[in-house]
Amino acid sequence: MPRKLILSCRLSPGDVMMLTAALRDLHRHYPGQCVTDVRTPCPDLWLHNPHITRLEASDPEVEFIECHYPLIQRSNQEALHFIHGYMQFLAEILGLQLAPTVFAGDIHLAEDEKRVPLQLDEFNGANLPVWIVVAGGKYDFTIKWWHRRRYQAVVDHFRGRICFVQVGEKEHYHPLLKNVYDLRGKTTLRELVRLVYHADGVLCGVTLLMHLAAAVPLKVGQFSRPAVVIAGGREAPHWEAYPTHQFLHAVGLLPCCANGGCWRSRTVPLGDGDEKDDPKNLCRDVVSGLPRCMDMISEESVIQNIELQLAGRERQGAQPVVEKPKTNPTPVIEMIR
Amino acid sequence: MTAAADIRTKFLSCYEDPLITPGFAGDCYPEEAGGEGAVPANVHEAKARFKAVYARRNVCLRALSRLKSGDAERRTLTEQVLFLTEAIDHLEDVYAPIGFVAEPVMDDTMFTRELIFTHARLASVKGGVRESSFSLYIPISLENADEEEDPDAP
Repeated sequence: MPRKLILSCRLSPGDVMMLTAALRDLHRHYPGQCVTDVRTPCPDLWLHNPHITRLEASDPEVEFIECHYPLIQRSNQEALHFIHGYMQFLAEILGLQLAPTVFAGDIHLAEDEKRVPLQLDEFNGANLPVWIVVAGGKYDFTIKWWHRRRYQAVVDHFRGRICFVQVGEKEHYHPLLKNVYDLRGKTTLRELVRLVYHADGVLCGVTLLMHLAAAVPLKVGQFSRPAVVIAGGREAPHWEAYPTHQFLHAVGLLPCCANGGCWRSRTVPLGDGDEKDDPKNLCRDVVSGLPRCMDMISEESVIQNIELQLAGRERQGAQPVVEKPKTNPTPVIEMIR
Repeated sequence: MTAAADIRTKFLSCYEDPLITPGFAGDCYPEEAGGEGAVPANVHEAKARFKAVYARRNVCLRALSRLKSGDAERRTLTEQVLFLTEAIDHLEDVYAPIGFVAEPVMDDTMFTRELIFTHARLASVKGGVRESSFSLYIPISLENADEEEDPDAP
């Protein structure tokens, strides 16, 4: 008789993305042994997910699990990725063995979502490659922000070669860039998922979009989804970076992130009474309003990394057309024993 | 004087309230939109500074658009517009780290009709519980912590 599990996670969408990976791999390692449902703030990330079965918490057979990832406490000491976080937690709670089978979260799209292309009207009349840009973020972790004018310099550099679409949640910090298609505050989470599917690349900090870039299935004809991530020194790169992304970080370059991420929250205090304003959570090395680790990442280096991605795409015609594998025929439980 | 202080001094007069100047064209003063009840604590001062410098640039832009001849005057006005644009950039730099943004709504001539302000909202308290985003603090290992004298380091 399969175990009935409800996995709960009340954290941000980026965190929930990692739970999608854990759920996928739970079912891959133990097919038919669990019936699962979730409780998270972002149902859009679970649409069309084949591992979701409606369960009621009141069902006495249901195990309700509040999910965490305590593994993060060892992220500066061990070569672990965020994707291992929930998996290790669930493995311990359930008494199972789990390991990632795909280095990404698990997002599913319906066929009609894949068919409807981006509607950018005359803005992209030249049919340029479309990149999504997030030029800010939440107010709780301002230390992740890069400077608006640097993003602008990147956008300006690629004018006529890339059509940038700016996205971001209305309540968060997302200063408007010029010469972009402005979708800030105009997309639901599901629409963002679809945008990522149809886009040709993403430019962002360590944020949901980075996780989506890895997790959303590839279009037919794409061999990977380009992503340039402006990361600085907050997180250890092995904890956040995906293998196919250009992850620009400063860990090891500065005393404050010499051996791993500093895991601090804000560049300067916001005065909102949040504990993230405490000195222990503030950046220790601010230069011209930016954390030094972010200041060290120049416009030129971001441009160069996008250029590399574009150069790789030019060879795409010579590559075999594949879709990212969503099934693994190998009995994966064998792989981790 | 430090470079930062130099820059502050350079632009200081741009941020003073232009409406107290006799004869200042009041319709050059941008309207204001955006949320209230926000940080920074001196949000009103921040807004006033943005409005002041945009208003001054509006005055120059209007004068430029009405100029019929006189290259010397055009040059002076253009230089003023560039200077005030620089002052806007500086002000953006001052407030960017706290996420305070003044987004201009312009017409074709760059005349700014409205400024839309966005900023962090104060955390709300519901039922005695303070709503806050999830936060995560990683204790820095001893190997990491000894390289700098930081009294606040965990």
